[in-house]
Amino acid sequence: MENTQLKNAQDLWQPLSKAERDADKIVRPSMTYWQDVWRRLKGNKVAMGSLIFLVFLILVAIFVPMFWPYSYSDQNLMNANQSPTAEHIFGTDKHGRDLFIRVIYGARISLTVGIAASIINLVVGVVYGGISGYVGGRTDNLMMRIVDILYTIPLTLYVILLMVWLGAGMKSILIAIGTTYWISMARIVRGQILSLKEQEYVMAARTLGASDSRILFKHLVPNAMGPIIVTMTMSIPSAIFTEAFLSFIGLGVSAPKASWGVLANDALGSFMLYPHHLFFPALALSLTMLAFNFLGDGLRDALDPKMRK
Amino acid sequence: MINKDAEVLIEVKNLKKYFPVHKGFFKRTTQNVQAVDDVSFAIRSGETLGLVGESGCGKSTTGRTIIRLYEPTSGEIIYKGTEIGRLSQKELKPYRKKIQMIFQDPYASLNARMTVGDIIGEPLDIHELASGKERLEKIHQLLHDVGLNPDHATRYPHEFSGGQRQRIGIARALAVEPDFIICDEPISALDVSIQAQVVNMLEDLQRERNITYLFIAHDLSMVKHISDRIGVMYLGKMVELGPADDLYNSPQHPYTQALLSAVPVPDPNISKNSKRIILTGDVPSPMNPPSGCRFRTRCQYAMDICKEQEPEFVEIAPGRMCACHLHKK
Amino acid sequence: MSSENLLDVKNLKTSFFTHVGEVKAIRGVDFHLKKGEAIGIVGESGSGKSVTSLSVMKLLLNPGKIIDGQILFNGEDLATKTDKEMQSIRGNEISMIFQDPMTSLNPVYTIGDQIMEAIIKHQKVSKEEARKKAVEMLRLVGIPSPEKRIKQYPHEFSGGMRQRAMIAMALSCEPQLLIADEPTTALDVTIQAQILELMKDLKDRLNTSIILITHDLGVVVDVCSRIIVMYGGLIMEEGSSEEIFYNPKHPYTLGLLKSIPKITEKSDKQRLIPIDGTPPDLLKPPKGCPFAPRCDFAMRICMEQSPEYTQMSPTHRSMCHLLHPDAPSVPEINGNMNKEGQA
Repeated sequence: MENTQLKNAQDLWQPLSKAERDADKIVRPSMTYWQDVWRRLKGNKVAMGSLIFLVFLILVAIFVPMFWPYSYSDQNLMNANQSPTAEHIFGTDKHGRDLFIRVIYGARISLTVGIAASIINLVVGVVYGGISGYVGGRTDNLMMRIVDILYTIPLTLYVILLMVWLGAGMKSILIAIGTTYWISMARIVRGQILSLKEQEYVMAARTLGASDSRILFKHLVPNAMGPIIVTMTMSIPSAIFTEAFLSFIGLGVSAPKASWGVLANDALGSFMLYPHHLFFPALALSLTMLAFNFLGDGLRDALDPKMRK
Repeated sequence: MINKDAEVLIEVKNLKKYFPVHKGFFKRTTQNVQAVDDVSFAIRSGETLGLVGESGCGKSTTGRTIIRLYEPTSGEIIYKGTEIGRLSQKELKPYRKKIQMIFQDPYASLNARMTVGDIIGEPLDIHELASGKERLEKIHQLLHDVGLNPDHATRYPHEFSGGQRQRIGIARALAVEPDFIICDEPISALDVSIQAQVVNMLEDLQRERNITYLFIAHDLSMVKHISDRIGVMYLGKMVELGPADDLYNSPQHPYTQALLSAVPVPDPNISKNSKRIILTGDVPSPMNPPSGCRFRTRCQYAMDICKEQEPEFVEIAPGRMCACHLHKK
Repeated sequence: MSSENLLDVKNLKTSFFTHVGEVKAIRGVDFHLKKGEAIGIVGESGSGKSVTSLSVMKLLLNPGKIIDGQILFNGEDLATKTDKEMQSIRGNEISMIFQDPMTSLNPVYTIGDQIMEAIIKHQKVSKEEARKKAVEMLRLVGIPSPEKRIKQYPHEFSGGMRQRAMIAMALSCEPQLLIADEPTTALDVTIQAQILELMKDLKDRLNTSIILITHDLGVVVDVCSRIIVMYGGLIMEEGSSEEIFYNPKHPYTLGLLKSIPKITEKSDKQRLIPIDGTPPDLLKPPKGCPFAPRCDFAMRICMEQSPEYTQMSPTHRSMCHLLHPDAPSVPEINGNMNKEGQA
């Protein structure tokens, strides 16, 4: 040890140049905000499980009907009310229709309603809430009071009236859900915008001369994305359930189309004898809603900026 | 650098900014927070005017009102002879290229979702000053001017330290080539050894580009270092104004005296031998300021007249303004 | 010797086990404190100064852990104590006050309740006696009309008064040691002066030892007799105030002193001399001296090996290769110390 020290003695005591010292180096790997979010989400096993389930469900809903031997409306009265077998994985209903494929079609309907409603929800809610929060003052007051009033209208009643007016069917359901669910999104977005409005980077944008729309859509909304995504994810199960419920009471899609609510309705008379008629649609509905809820919870934790440090 | 012949770049006359306090169902205005109450001063081209005071004195509000983040309640803001305090936001836009601001919190003043390049490029986009390749070149040049690496343009703010972020904020302000920059506590949130880096850079930029600064801060030592003249504010009023060294060597207003004596000096011998003026009590509420002179409740020299009459902000010596009954002629 | 010391910290090492790896916040810190003495720990972000105080109090939150070292308080090692044992020490024998009085006080309880809570827990007295003591403490810290104030809530107090209330709370059980972590950073300068006066006064009256943690060199001059300068999780230099300010023997200390403006400086606008670069990332602490990347006098050895401490006087030591007899002569640091120049 001594020898090497003496040998390098000259060397060791040499002064270093600035470049050799590397004072401003960035040590940590570059990670964007979304990469960080994904990393946190990955750590949440329940949320990841839910995500995998949902992806799987979507793929099944899209692709399985393409090659499945039965369609949702094929009747075969001789095979009616069968319990689950190798051929009919979920058994058959009272008309001999394959229950499995009917549940898959139910998934198609539910997922379409859920996602479409969310998108409408997102667009209307963000614009309405964004403007209300950004403009503030009396306008905000007025806009929020309108929202409060709309919120008190009983949804079921409103949908029933709409359905009576528009007739039953998928379109009506979408209109009904789309025109009501944006309210909670609007409130969330407004709250976010109100608090983000006072941040210094927004002030900086104003001093630079940025227009209001630029500030709103380039600065505020991207930073409010966290709660927006969470709200969107959490509103999907509500939309799905609403559709199921409406179909259950006969206001939704009609036979032979098979939404989970319709399947549940069909099963009502006979489920004491043939529990599988109710079990499978109910299971599908519950699992899907649970999955979205868990995913939403996981996203909320992953997106929480306070956990950054 | 004070050049007595330099033109007056920006002037503030009788500026007032009140914030209404709403009460009741219909949001009636019951009271006002008198954040800035009748403040006047002028800054010459190339000069640095420091603005000091403690919390609630209105120094930040003054800066933000000048740049129209807040609308002035009354008074004038004059830039190169043009009144800009009452222009609409649209008419104001060209002036946004002349007057810029640097903020206090390096962690909040940059949009976390934008890359550094986009942050610095935003003013170029808003004012349509450059696009495409030229825009990128300008961004790289600005990064270089503030001592950062051009490859940093693709990174995000959270990857940088406080001092580096502050430099990014300065680069953003410089993009439009302003004449006048309001520095709102730009170094308070930085580590001590980094503060000097940023202050030196500001001084260099001033020399190279003839930028005028309004330097708002509560760190008196730093303000004294960087400013040519200093204005002292208390509860919405300016109580004293004068050249930095004069103000320190012979402060005229009792508040200035107390403020200066309270500054901790990193020097054991000087600290031991200095006499501290310890002010009693707390700062009164800006919603309900004391009658007459606002400082009288904590002033050791308070007289009867201080309760009745508000002292005028007048010139008590060439270049020295003060608002105190002790100096009435 | 160590039996005279109130606090003896030996080779303290604390790390934070985060998802990106082990952040070595403190990498071997030794210092001591006598009864009735006030020392200041000065450093910037990442220096480890706050983590040191949290380690002493065993208040580290996950994922922080003390991984080595001893914290001898009155001879007993706090590092080995359980949380339950620490609870009877915190607030009682060692107290702490923090930077932001607004968030350190619980907004839903009155000031009186909060002060009394500590007294009742540690001193087993009746509620009435605790209340009397609380009033006495508020008076001691200079809050007017304490009997009225004791029933008020934190939001009814101004910033300076809240900090005084915090001090009252911390001293209510007459602890032997008070740790103040940036107690005046969030306060206005005139209020800061009041609080520092108060701390000096209380130290003399109650003979409480104080560890004052701050980044402001001016603040320590007032209250502390000894100063510790930390950087990158290690102590760079330690000495009396005179030694540190008038005879600094470490490039970091020197750099700090040169980079801060002094309000007493004559005009002429002498340029501040900043320290280039930024504090190190303790995820991958530098192999050698943590300050080397930013040091104007850095040598090859500084990047390779961490320096040993050189003791210049019973109270003054510094961790720098320049103080090694083989080092080249650098007048500012080792001017009168080097006997031989470089071979």
